[in-house]
Amino acid sequence: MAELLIEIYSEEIPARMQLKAAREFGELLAKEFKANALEFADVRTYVTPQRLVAVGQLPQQTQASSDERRGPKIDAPDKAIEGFLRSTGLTREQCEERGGYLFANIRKDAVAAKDVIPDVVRKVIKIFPWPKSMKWAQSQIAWVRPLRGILCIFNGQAVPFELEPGGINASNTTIGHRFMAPEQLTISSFDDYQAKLSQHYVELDQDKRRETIKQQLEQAAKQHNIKLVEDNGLLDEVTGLAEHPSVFVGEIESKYMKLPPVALKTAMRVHQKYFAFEQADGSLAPHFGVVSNARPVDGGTLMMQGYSRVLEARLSDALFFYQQDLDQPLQDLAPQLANIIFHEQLGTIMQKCQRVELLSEDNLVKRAANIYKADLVSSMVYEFPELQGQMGEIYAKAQSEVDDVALAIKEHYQPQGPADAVPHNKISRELALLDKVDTICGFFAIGQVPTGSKDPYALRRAALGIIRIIIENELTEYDILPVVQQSLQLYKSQGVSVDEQALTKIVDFLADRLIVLLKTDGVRYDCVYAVMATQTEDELNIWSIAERARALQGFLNTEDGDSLLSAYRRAAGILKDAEKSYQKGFSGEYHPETLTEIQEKVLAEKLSEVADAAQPHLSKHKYVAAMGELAKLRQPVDAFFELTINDDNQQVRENRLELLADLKKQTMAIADLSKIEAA
Amino acid sequence: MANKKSFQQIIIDLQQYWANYGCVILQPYDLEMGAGTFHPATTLRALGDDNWNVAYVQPSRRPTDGRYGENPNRTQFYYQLQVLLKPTPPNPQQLYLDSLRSLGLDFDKHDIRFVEDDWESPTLGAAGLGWEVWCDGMEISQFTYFQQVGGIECTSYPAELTYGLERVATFVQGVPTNYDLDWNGAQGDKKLTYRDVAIRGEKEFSAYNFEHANTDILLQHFKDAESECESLLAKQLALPAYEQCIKASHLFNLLDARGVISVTERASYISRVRALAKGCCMAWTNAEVA
Repeated sequence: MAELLIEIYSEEIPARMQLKAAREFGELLAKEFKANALEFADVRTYVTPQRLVAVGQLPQQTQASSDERRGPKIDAPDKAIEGFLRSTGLTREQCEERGGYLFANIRKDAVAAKDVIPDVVRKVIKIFPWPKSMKWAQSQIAWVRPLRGILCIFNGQAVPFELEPGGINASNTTIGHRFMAPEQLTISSFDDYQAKLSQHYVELDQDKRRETIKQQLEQAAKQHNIKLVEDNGLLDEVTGLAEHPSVFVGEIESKYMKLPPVALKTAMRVHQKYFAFEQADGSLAPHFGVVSNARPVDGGTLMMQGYSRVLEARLSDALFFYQQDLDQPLQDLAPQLANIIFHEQLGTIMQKCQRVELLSEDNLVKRAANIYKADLVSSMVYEFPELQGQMGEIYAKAQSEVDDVALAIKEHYQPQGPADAVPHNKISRELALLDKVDTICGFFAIGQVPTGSKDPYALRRAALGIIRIIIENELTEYDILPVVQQSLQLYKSQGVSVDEQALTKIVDFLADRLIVLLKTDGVRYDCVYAVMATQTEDELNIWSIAERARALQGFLNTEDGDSLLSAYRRAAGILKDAEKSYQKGFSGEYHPETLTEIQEKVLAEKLSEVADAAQPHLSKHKYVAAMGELAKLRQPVDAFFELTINDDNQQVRENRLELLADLKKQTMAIADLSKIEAA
Repeated sequence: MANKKSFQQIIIDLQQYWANYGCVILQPYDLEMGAGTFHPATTLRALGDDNWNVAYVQPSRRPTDGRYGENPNRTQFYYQLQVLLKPTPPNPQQLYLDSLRSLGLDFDKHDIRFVEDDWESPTLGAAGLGWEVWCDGMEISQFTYFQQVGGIECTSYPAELTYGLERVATFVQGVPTNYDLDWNGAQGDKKLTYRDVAIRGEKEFSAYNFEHANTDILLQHFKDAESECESLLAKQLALPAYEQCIKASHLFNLLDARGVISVTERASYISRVRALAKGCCMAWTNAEVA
């Protein structure tokens, strides 16, 4: 084994693509070497704005091998024989004949790794999956930005090769920091490489750069007696924008501190990639942190003037927009929503607001529905789209809307993803639910449903949001079906031609998302199906399904539960056979007076007891308690099976079958155990 | 401060720099346009395999960026220096950085970055990959490798460098706003700042763009330009047709600033201009081949 070091040097790689590229670079190299019978081991990858680097251990050469392959019969059609010869690269004479078959002995000689490396690197560059790549000059290669050099060292030696005819050559040289030390460096090994880069102001290791930035930011915060607002996404991004990061702190002019903190933060982060700080009391500090790729000789005075100036220009704009927006109540902006298309077939955002308003009975929700999207046409949201909802809340408060209404404007977008919190406030959660129901119903109405990995309108996220809002708020009585029906009706009234199957499809879609969600909690999908089967056709109580499925799974994991499930299956099996031979169904109408044996009588008694006892638990959503009642059936059922069900006396036999049917019916009220799959 | 280059000297020197490189120095195109890219010397000449190295100043108009002269660096009228290098030399980034250095921008005191910004002009049907060039966090240039123009795939992927001249100059001169720039480098009562030259235009044109432009007239002009472009395209007159396309694009920008174009209409206007641009590029390349 010997060390292989490869650096692809290019013009600046977009920061957001770097980490994934580093990972894929290592994986692809290993894969391609493997295809060439070489194992690329102990691979480490690094990435900077201009470098994509992999280092690892590679054998000096491939193993020589010999492999025998049996081919067609010697008298097989010519075509078959030709194909076999082509695939083996041998001539007919070189093949051996044995037992009427052709055999090819394919020998592979050992190949030196340094002869394999050029092809592997060329191949990896050719197939590299950049999210977006480009062409330049006369090169036939597509890369994320023009590729300017390849460093390739194997076992201390350069592996020279041409990337493409007339293109760049791989060598043992690279270049230092673009501004601070743009010298050519000759490299002999990875240690040498890392050390020389470091002397020439390049920190190769992205994790170390990230850590340096974090430490410097925290240290700077300490000096100013403020606290860094943690922002891992931004930290990743700036790590990919500097080979030699250093942190500087600047101040924000007091007149801009009038802006809402969220607007200040966004202006700093999104456009400028600046970090924000907080005062001890949690309010935004009038400071900003920048990560530069320079080591200014004047200590940064001139540079920081520039950094302050550009922020000031941004904030000056933001303040202008903010004041302009404050002069215009949301109510007056709302009519402009008629100009924003929600979807070509589903109408404007204004129509969406009107539908959502009609879906609610609550006056505050109705009020919120009137103005909840109005900030989309405000100047601030035009400039900073990521502030949608947040500016709406600020403007609503400024014009003295009820606090709950203002909050709902912000929170109705929640949850934005699996990690985002759901709204808990009553108005917020209803608005959030209705907004999402309206979206899902609209797109299902026109057949725009998610398929495979395609979900352009983020309907799965909306569905998951609905489910989480219901479950996490414990909306125990919330039945979503009538809301969906009404929503579809509203689209119809608007003239949208609604898919006849939309309702069924939406119910299935929600159930499907619920199963996915519960699965992450370890709840089995068959438990969900078992409880869903107990819902009547005109209800869809998501909280209850989730809770009951959890209780059922818990119950089935107990000994009682497991045993009852076996008994249920046995009963179901017997009934199925009986129904076949009797050519009729059993409804559970047994005759108490003809029960003779003690086991029958006990079971009958228990069945009615359990049914009576479970019902109040069920209506109070005490599913664990209801399952507990069910557990009481275990013993009587086991005892009952000591009897011969198929008694010679037809009357006795049929009565026992009816008793089993009753058992099935009583358990059905709690869960349809036939949906539970065998372990 | 006296030895810092004046605004006009910066322009003269940049032109000289690129002339020395081998660029043909053109003059601004005599139509209103949103960016130097619209100049036919870029849009049309970017296509095809012939050598074409060019530099020129182009006054650029962005009606929606007007701030009545109140914003330090956002204006509805500004100057770009546009450079197009075809074929791309092996070191375009270095050429660009050397040009900044030659203006006196001190890389030992400033922080220069190439930050991802894939440029796209929906109205031109043009797209490329590249960066915004930042100096101390301010975008001072746009650097793009063209991949497509007028919906036509480029064959030799030229590099386009666009300097925001005022922004570059504020760093060269070390002044806080565009308006503080020393325009002519003269002293005493001969001294002229950017404010002296431009502030009145910013105020009046902001008012025109946002408040007073007659939208009925603009809409009519847009239709006229569109139909004139189409009829010229039918005659395969690429350059005159393209002038009408430039006009349509600017008229659309004015209508947009007046806020009379709804979101849906917006997309449809953009696609109408793009169709014109595409037609012009097709006509241009057809004629070239013939």
